[in-house]
Amino acid sequence: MIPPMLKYLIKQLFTKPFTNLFPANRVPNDTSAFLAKGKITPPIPVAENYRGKLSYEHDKCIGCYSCIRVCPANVIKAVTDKDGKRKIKMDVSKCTFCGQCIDVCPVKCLHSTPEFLLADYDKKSKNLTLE
Amino acid sequence: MDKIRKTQGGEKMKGTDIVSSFKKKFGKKLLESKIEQNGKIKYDVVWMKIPKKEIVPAIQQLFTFGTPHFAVISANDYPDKIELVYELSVGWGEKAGEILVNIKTDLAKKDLKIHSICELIPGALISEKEKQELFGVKIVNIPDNRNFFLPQDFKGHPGIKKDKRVDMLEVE
Amino acid sequence: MSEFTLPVGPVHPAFKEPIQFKFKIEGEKIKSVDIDMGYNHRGIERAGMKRNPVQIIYLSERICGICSFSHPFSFSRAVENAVGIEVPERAHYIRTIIAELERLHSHLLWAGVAAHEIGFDTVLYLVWKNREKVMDICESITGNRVHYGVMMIGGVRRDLTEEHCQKLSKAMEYYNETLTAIEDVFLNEKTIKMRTQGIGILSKKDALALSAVGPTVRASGVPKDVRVDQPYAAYADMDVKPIVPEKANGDIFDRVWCRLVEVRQSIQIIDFCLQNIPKGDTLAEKNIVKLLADLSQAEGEGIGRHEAPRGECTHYVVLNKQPNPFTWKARAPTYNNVLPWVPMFKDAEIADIPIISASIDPCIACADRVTIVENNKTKTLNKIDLHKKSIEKSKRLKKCQ
Repeated sequence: MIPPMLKYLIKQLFTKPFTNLFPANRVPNDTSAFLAKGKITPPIPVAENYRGKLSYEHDKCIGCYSCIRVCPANVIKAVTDKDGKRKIKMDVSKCTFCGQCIDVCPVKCLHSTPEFLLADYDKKSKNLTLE
Repeated sequence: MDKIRKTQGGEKMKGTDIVSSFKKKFGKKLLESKIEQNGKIKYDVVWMKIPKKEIVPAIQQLFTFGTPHFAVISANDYPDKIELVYELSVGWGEKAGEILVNIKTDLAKKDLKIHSICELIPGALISEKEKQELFGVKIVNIPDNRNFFLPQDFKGHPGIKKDKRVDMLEVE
Repeated sequence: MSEFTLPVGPVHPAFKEPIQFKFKIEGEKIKSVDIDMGYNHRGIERAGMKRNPVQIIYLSERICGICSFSHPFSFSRAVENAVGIEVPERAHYIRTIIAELERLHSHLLWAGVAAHEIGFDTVLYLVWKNREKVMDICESITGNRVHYGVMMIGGVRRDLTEEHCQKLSKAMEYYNETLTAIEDVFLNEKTIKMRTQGIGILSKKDALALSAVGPTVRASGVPKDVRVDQPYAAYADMDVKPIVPEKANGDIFDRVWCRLVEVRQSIQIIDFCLQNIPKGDTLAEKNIVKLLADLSQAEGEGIGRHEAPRGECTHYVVLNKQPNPFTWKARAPTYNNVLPWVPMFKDAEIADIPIISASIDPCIACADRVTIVENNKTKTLNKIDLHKKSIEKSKRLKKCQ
């Protein structure tokens, strides 16, 4: 009796592999020469509702601090800027990207972008702080 | 057979049947009882409070309604007492037929002792061990006395202590 | 003698958390087992005491990665029952759709892991390749592959558009076809039948006494299912039957059968919801600041339950007019399924340990370190050694045929 798995194995020999491989195994020393050589597999596009790193519009913020009350991870801190107005400061390295602060803001000054490559050597670098 | 027991007349069980059978057996010892209705298709939720000496007869009384399903034992940490809530349910197996039964008992913090229910429901062992090691409640006649979640040589009962609420608004 | 392994961190999907077993053996047969847990105790209920109910939803999501929708679902139901909030109809249907999508991906993940424990890696890749479609659909609806972040007290945070509904219908047609392949392999392949029939038996009497939950108890012949016993959300409008095999032996093969038939049932439930979803609001109270203010003046206690892929998930909440809840008790389904391991391991062989411990689908999972006590000498086998033993047994059984 033919085992059932054999049929699917033989079918798999004639189909394209499912994995989308990275363009190269290691980062090339000269990126432009590498790109000029030929085509690379295109990356899979990010989904349209994806929740990536946040963006903050400093001037629109009115300082109501509702976002601080709903943040589950203590990411947002209340500060006063040089004009004496109430603003916030966010620490992206602790953020869970839940999006609750975006929902609750009354003037819609927080948005989510599709950026997800956030690795860094320093937790307090400019890339990982929003103000 | 471990099927639900219907009342005479072939109707489904209701919360009032359970409360009235408990009232008949325990009389004045049944300190409080309350029935709520939750959900889209309304089902009964029965809350009852009894003194801690009667916990084993109370669970035995529940067995007359069929084998109960044991969920968990929760603990409310008040300043002078710990209130244990035994969450069980009877009547599973039929569409919209299950009734939740919650039995509460009070344990004064000076005398944290209660009898184990593992002879009737062996599945309650993990919940009782958790209360023993985290809250310091002494469970009498428990089949196995070792710690389950904490290391064996741990001293103290971390439990759930009521700290002051930490304010998250710190203005620089 | 107390032994320790360091906690390996938060729970990831398909990652195995350490539990310590101590077996007493005679030759190759196991006589009894002793279980010790707690290496991943993170104090989540303590962290929940310092947060208000809206923040606790996100905290409860991160109790687990695979069943990450069951915990916020049960918690929201508990708060809604304590306070008396009415959820709109459309939100009920969206919650049901996402809960069933989670059941689909969790059962397919388990099917792959079970095949891997036997040593049948080809089936693992076949099943996990088919699982990618569910993850892509979840990402386009909710924004993330796990940890959806869609639940809110009083409804859901996002709405389903026409495009999402069409994508869902196409995905359900795709799954109807590919499931025939997966069922064919699991239920007819000789290797899987050899390794799973007659092993790890949990009798009906034991299952009732130990209060087991989920497919583990349904495979032993007990029809317990929260969707049938206390219908909620969109399950109240349709006729859901508990999946119990006709001649239930309570072994691992019955549990495999239960989970695969439940996947078919999930597809039917999603099709029903897509056809009958009503129009309307998705949230009972849209202003979150007002919701928080109302909850901080509320008083009451409530219990919320949900049929997670692994069993019944219960949360208990007490509110007493403070911003933070007074008590929050979260009970995952695997909590009740740990004690049934003891009768399952009786008279089994050491090479069967991986497949038996994976068969209850432990969300806080399998043995990382197993200590064997033989003639008063202890020998420790870790995960890789146990896995090798399991593969060797499969090869041995195939040769004897």
